[in-house]
Amino acid sequence: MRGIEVRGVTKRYGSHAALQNLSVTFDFGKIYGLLGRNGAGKSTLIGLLANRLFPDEGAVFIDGQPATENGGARERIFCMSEADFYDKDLKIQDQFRWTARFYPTFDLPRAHALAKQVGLNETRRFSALSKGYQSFFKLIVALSLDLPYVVFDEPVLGLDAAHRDLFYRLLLEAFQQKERTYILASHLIEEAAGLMEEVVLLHRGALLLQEEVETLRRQAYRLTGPAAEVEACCAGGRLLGRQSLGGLQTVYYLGEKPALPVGSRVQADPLPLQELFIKLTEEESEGVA
Amino acid sequence: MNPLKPALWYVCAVKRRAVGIFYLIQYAAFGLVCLLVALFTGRVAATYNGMEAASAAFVGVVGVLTFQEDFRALLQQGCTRRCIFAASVCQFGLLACFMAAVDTALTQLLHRLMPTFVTVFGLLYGQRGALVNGLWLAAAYWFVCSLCYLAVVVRGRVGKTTFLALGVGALALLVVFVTFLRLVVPRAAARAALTVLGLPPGGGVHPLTPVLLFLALGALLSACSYALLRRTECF
Repeated sequence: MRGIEVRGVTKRYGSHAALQNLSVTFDFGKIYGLLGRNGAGKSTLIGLLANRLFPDEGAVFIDGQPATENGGARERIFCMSEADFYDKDLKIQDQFRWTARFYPTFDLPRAHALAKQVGLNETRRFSALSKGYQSFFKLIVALSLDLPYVVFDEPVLGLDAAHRDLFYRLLLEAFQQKERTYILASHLIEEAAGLMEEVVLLHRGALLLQEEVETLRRQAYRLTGPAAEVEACCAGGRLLGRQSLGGLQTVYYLGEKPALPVGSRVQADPLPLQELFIKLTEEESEGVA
Repeated sequence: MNPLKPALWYVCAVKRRAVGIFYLIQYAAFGLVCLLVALFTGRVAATYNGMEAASAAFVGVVGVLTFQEDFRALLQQGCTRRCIFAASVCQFGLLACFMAAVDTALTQLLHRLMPTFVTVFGLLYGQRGALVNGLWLAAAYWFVCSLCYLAVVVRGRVGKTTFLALGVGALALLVVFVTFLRLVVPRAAARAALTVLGLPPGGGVHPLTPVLLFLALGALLSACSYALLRRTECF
């Protein structure tokens, strides 16, 4: 399994470049978080993986095969989309049956069992479902497919807390049962952070960061304390931002955490992933440093 | 896995109900018209001969929906554009043949029961055998389906505003052309046009010529549709 390779992809909508010379690799057998602010290019990248869009430059490969208009590559990947591409007048049970015809690896009994578990009425038409259940229907389809690569675009949109928790558990169960690659594009970073092994952060159509979650958790931190002492502790790494409130100062860093002197009034805390990404994208947008 | 087979099944299956409802409404309306005529005139006679025209409008709508709805659904199911196009064209062929067979059988029957009822084919070429009538209808339906499919694919590629501008421009050109038809079309060209429509100026009727014309035009329109569809994006 060679994974998914995005090589030098540029995608423009008129004069606006949604993706600019983007190169990124998703290895086989990992759960990725595809993150970025609104308009960062996540959905465009997923559109390219799903063969819904065409790159203006560059190419996408799935296990070495071109992803665009290639039946062989199509059999290896499924992209659950935020938009509704299903026939809205079909009943859920029929949607499952059709998916089983298109994808021989679709586990129909599992789909029925999951639908029952979440209380999804299969006799109802897609259009008659609430937004949350429409999302769960799409999740069930994705979770019942035995394919090497499954991509989720805003998977928990419209789901209540209990259903979101259930989805995360089902995803982990499926991942433990069989090795594959899951790519999750979500704005609920902290919630999904526990699942992700690696994050790909896009910003303004370019790759801002690709790193293991564990490494980020270890290396992202903030120092809070009296301004002079905080300044003295600032050793190395990448300064992401700085905030002052009265005599207190907080600095945000990405790098090896410094050893604080004994008796120091400076406090070092790990930086939550969500905050880290806000700082990283702010830094790029506003040039804070 | 070859997704063409499930794709073809899918595009046909999702239209099955619509075809049934269409015929139900069409013949209920026809029955009602006959009933009203019988009530008011005291004789059973058909004054409504628009069965095939209604079917042609229906297949046109199918052509539109095949792009607007099935294209998105099939892309989501992992089909390539080539597969989607092949499934769509096969569907048009099957639908055209099926509806032509049904319409021919029913309209021929109605003509026997009510001699005032004349098929569209009968109006143009005179009442002839069911086979040639059916062939002509199938080719005409296939042409209409392909034309509407191309129109909606063009709209998908160029956007609503440009498509409307193109439509208005084409209509204006048509109006100008028809207005000056006698002036701009040489007599020889008019004769040739009538000949390919199966009505040679010298007399006689050749209904198979328009069948070939419709089939060729439908194939040409389909080729144009594919040329556009293969680079059409789905948002």
